[in-house]
Amino acid sequence: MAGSAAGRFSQLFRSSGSPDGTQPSGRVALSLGAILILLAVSCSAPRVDRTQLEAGIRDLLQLRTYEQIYRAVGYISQERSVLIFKTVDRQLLYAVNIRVQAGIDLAEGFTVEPDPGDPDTVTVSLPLARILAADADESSIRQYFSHEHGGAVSLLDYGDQLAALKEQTIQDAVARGILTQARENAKKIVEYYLRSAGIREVKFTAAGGSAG
Amino acid sequence: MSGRRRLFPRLLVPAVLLLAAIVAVVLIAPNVGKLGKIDLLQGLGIVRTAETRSATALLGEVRELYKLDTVEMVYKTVFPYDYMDPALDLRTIIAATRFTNGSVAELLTSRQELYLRAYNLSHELGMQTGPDRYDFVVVTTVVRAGIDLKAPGIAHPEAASNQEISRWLQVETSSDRQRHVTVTLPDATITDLQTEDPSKAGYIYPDIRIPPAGWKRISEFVADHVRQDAEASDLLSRARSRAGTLVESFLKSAGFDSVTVVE
Repeated sequence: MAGSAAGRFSQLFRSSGSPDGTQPSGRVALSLGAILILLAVSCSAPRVDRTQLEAGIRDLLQLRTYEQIYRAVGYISQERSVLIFKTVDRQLLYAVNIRVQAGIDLAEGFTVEPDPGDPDTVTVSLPLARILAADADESSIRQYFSHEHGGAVSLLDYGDQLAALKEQTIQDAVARGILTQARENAKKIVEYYLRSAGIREVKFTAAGGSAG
Repeated sequence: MSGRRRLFPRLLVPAVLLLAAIVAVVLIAPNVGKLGKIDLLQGLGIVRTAETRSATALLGEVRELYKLDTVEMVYKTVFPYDYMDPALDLRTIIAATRFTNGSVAELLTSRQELYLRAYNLSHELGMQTGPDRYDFVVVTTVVRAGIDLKAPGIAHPEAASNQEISRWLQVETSSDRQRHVTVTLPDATITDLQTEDPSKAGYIYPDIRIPPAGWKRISEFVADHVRQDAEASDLLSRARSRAGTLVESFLKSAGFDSVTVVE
């Protein structure tokens, strides 16, 4: 059956040529056509597939998309009295640089879903942003004054105070919108990337499914 | 019969070519503009034109990334001690101005003058600066920094000359078809600066009796110097290096084999 089909095709080819069956312009046309179609087919296969897009987004979101540098000021004040006499009166004021970084936590996963009805639209579900790091740079500490009556501020007191200052700084960063800013930046970066890959419209949802 | 046989080959050539061209256009068109376009253009041997065009488009995309503010500084200033260098001595400064003729600016160094101005203001507002009592006020300023978008070529990449574009971005393709891009980062600049008024909820330091007019004077004093302080900190270099990391990561994800960022 296949053989007879091939035979009919060769018969047709020969019948379209000169009496000797070797019309050069017909062969050239068919060859050119085949080359053009092959070239087009090889280019038509989507070069940016979903796996590639996800890998690219994963690389981009490794970045911590927003950072706040705090010049934080810590104040230690300890007072103790016996009757009307102050037995302990300690004050210490210092500044230290604390860096707070936020971004998307990829451990929570994300997805890129092409729109079934429109191949140029994708929906990306991104987890919410989180604080990914908060580091105090102890080399930046500047002590303004210390007033120490009844003993100096101990190293442990100071350590506890610095840990508390770091926690306060994180809370302040969240109150100032570091998480919102980190997520907005992440969305913009992903959108630029997908647009540069030829995606016309990018929609976002939070990892839970709500619009994000 | 022989007439039909002559007519058929004559029509076959343009018909097959036209059909092939239509099929090619239909299949290629949806993919023009996607990341695969550079490969296609390379295949067709018009790489140089494609690279020039893609460098302009690429700089436009890089500019979008530069527009993102990715770093800000919450700068807490301790007034007046941030302006009173502990290495200086008030008595020496006062002696220098009291027993010598000339203006303060001529007689004192800039650090001494700043010390004296901060001390005078705190003294006028009734603040004590030791040794029995240390009064202080913490002023919070939020400073944002980002890439300077006004640089020639960066401001309007689409209208930039080839020379302006190549100053910031160069795309090269090696003989083994590896694509390389070199990006030169523009300077970073302070994009926003705001001094905040203290609130009871957010102020965790000892309260101090200062009238609103006094607070205004302190706030203005700090605002005059905080830009300098922020520039002296690592805020600008941090903004620049973060922009560099973002652009590098973006271009690698976009398919470049290697990316060099010049700071």
